[in-house]
Amino acid sequence: MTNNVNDLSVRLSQAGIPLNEPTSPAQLQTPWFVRALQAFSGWLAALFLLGFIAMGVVFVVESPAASLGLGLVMIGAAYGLFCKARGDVLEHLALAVSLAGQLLIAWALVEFWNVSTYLWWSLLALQCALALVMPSQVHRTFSAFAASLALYMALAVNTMAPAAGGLVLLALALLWLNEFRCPGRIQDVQAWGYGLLIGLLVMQGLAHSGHSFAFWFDAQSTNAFAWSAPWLNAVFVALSLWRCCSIPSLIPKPIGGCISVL
Amino acid sequence: MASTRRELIPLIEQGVIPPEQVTRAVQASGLHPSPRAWALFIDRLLLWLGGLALAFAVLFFIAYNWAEMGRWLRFDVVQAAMVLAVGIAVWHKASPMVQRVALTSATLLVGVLLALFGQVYQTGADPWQLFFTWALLALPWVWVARFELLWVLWLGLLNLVVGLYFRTWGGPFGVLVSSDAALWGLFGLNTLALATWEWGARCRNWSRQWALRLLAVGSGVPMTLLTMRLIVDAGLVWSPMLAIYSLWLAVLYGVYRYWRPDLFMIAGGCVSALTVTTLLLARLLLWEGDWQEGSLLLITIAVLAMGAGAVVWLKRLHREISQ
Repeated sequence: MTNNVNDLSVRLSQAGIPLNEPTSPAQLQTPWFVRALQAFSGWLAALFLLGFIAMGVVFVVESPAASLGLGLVMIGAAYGLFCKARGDVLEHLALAVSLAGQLLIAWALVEFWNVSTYLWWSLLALQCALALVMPSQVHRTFSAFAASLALYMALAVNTMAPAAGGLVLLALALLWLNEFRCPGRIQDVQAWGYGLLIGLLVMQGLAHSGHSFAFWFDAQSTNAFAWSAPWLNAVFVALSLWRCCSIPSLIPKPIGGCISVL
Repeated sequence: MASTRRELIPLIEQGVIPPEQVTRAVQASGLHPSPRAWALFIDRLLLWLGGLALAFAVLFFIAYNWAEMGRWLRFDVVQAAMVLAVGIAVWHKASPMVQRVALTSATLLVGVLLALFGQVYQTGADPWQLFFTWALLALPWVWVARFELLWVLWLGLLNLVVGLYFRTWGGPFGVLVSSDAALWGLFGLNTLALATWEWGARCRNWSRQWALRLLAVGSGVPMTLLTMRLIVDAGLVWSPMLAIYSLWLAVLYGVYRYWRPDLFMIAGGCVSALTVTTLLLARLLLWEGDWQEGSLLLITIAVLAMGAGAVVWLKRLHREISQ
């Protein structure tokens, strides 16, 4: 690893890029599967915590306003914990508290609006806000994943589900193309990117397996623009390719042209 | 590319590369593929898609034209495609990649031929026999191809055989119920494959990449499910299963901590232990208890403690292994 870094430093120096002395010691990156373990146990703990709240403070679950209020307080507390967290234990606790808070908010929104467009758009807004604000890579990844699923469901309610994949792909392309734009936020961009990528894979899996949750919505939803969803999807995919091809160092023009035509 | 990215990001984050030079540094690092790398990628992608599409096209062509085609014509088409694929694989001018694509297509065509045989002659064979014969006949090609993906596909076929066999016949001598027997079968098969692959990696320089991890998942999931099943059915009672599970965890730790350090395997063991322990706590405190809110809080704390402990420990191991 050290030799490789030295090779890279030599290459950068040869390209005329001035290199400074490191201002902070090198941090060893946590492998993805350790983060996945953290997310899994946080999610599991959140479920039991929610069960505790449902049994211990029954009125909270029975009243949508109380659920919403407690959910927001828990997310606020989780944010505070993340900001103060100096170790994995507190970060873990914050993750579980935040996930339980999100479930409470989702529960309140279901009580308010049932399974409707408003529910999914509200969840999408919540997850986008959390993905932006929460100072934890695992949380950002989870929120980006949940946001992509909320978008899919919001569009599915309006019989526009086929457009969701293209939209997420476009967001994904824009994120990875701008990975190094803000040197201080590279890890954040990667966390969002991985979350959206998992969401996109789930959407594609649903589309190919034929389980698009359409049975939930078909009875009550109609949309005069439903016919345009596949075309919108194609436009988003083409836009993604166009963005990739607009960076010659990423995809050479002849290859980009061929892919666009295909 | 992944390693270049891993090397570049710490340099940016530590301030070694000035912020205004990041764009140039990304270009100079070779992070983005060169035109030649792109051409190679597209060339291989089209080769693979073409090879697989041709193999599946034979299947769909016969299925669609079933009524119009005679028995011999159906067999002729599949066998001719198979001979063509094998012919390309043994052609001395074919590159190793073309040979692999051809042998993968030939392996798929064996399955098509066996399905055709079963359909035409209505042999009445059980489904597991079809897949077992397929795996048996494809073995020589898989062997000579020396190709990781083809080995994994072949092992996937064997997994299917084991699952279908135990669904049909249940466990040997009626000692095991059928689904347990299937899980034991999958555990035995994948653990044997994992041990063999590890031996090959050590003694024959076989590749130690994603396939080993996939096999470890194939070994760990059935073992975890067997233990969970025991807990759901009987709770915390003495059973040889518990001893076997503990032994499996200990061997996993010993092998992948000291003999072949691999954090992924140890993390997998942690996930398994976390899941089993949580289920055991839920069984003891909730199902056998009174569903008190205090029990739920206790389990929450236990899960948090186990998860955080595992992450702290794995990070420490990661530092030790990386040094």
